[in-house]
Amino acid sequence: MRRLRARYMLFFLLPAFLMLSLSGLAHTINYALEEAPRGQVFWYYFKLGVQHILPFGVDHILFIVALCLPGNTGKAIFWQATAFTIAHSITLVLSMKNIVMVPAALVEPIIALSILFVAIENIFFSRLKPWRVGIVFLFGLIHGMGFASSLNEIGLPRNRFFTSIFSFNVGVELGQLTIIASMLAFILLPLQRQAMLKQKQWVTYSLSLLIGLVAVYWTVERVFFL
Amino acid sequence: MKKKAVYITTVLLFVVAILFVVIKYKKEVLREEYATYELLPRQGVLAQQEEWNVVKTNAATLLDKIKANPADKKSLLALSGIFIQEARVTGNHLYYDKAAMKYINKVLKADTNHFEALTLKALIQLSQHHFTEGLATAQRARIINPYNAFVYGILVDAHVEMGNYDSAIVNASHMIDIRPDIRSYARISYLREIHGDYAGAIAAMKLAIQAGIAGDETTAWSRVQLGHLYENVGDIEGAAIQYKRTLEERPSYAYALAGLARIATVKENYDTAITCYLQADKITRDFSFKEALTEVYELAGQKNKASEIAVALIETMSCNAEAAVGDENIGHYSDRELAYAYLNVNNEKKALEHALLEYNRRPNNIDANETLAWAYYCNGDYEKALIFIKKALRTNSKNPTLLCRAGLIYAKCGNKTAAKDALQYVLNTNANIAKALKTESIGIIQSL
Repeated sequence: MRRLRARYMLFFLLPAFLMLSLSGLAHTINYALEEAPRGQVFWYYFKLGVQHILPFGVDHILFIVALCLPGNTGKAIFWQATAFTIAHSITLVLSMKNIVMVPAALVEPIIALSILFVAIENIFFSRLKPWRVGIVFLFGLIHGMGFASSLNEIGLPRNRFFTSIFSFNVGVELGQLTIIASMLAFILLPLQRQAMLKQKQWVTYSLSLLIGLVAVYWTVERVFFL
Repeated sequence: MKKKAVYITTVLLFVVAILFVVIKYKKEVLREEYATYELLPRQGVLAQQEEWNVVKTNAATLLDKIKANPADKKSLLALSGIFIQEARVTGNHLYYDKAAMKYINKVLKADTNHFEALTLKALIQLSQHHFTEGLATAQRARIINPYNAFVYGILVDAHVEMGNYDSAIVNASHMIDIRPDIRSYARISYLREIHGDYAGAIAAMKLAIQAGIAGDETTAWSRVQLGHLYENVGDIEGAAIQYKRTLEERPSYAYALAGLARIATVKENYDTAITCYLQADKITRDFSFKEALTEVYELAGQKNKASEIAVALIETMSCNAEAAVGDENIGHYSDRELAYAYLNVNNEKKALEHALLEYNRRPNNIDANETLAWAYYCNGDYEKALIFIKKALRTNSKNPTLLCRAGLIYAKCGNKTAAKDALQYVLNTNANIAKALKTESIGIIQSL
């Protein structure tokens, strides 16, 4: 019952946080790309999306790595990645349309906390819990706002709004899939065999611990020093 | 069971942590809302100026009035006006822009269509290089009061920055019709300058100075601009006279000191130039002084000092730009300046990145196009440089630095005639341009 309450708190708290009404930050307009052909706009934001994960999105990379760690089935990873993608796409569009406006001072520390949460969950639970996908979805909403603040710096062409958002998202997805593929190829699949279970557990614990420590550092830095 | 307890604790701690972040943020917003901003003490010679006492007295009176009545719009805006002027005098935009914006927003919260508040807001947005926002705010103000010269002045500036030069001319015409004063003449002068009419620009700037009060900051600024115009047409002595005159009327005016530093650089008196720039930098914080200082140190053979300043400059400008992401009231976009700063430290890739950011914000502005063209040139991509330099030349500006860069780009693209025309024009006028650019231009013209 208590567990259920805690879960509900999470589900209610974050959307409530999303709806916080704050002073409007109108998104920047990229005037130059308003004159560019659709293909060029697509390519520009696609590259930006990829770069936003690889190599510049270290926090997103750690989040995805942490998501993959206890995922002993491809299906589990697939559902988490899908939930994360859908969620961040929603808030990315809403933020860029100025419907949801949450300042970076709130988003950035919560992104760090979300990484910490997933890392702790990995340490204590070797198997994924059914609600993990829901939690990842909520965290995806927050990460989407993080993507939006950096996209806002570059700006979007008004006449190619959806093309730019879509291509940015495709780029982000490619970045994410690259990380997932690397995790599968270098960590998850080689440690899949029954004989390697102990090693797999050890890798999960130590990597999660490392990710958790980095997340603690980021949380403190983003709450108190930025 | 133990694991479940740990999990529930983790969830609870997570929720508490989020609540802490939200509450801390809300507290900061509240603290900001109730914070009062006062004048910061001026440093050095600025503190010895007579006007400082007047400024202090006025600000203190206004603060008292605001304390007595926090909703006193008139006092809130008058204090914002003082802060805006103080930002200009001291160069401390980070503090004063935030302070002024806070009081302006307070007025706008109570009255969203307050004309004066909107014009002051637009003014700050332009000074922070948030040109799109500044233009939109000024347009709102113009709708409320279309008979105010000041708002047309802001519209001229905003349209110029966005590259809407025809609209800028229309607004300048409205402005001067309503009020032919120092501000309107100065804007006419600038519009003539960017359209290649230096004689007309000089004549208008002289009228601006005549319309101003000697010793006033605005008059001093206009006289320095006149000096700059003389430099651009190669009348170095005429420019020096204007800078000296400015310093007589307004001692220790940083921009006049920087003007004298430029003249000293032309005459290869690097020690004098360094002293003047350092003095100017001490009085008013302006990135351009430090940028110029790196060039002079380089010319004087002090390469370590030059690179030390260049690196520090990049750091400061980046910090200011980052502040814009976190707080739209204080951040100052500096991508164009950053692009040149990165070129100074030979980081062409980063320079191009920032030049593109600036261009994306205002693709029709001739300066943004010039910067992008030059960044491409320095990256060895001459074909792309050509596209943007052509856009930079579209108003027929005869700015010597622009023409030199255009000449060099034309030369690399094989258009010898255009290259010769542009470079010859600048070298014949003996306009004051950066030494490295001049040397490169001479080398290229000899090879054509």
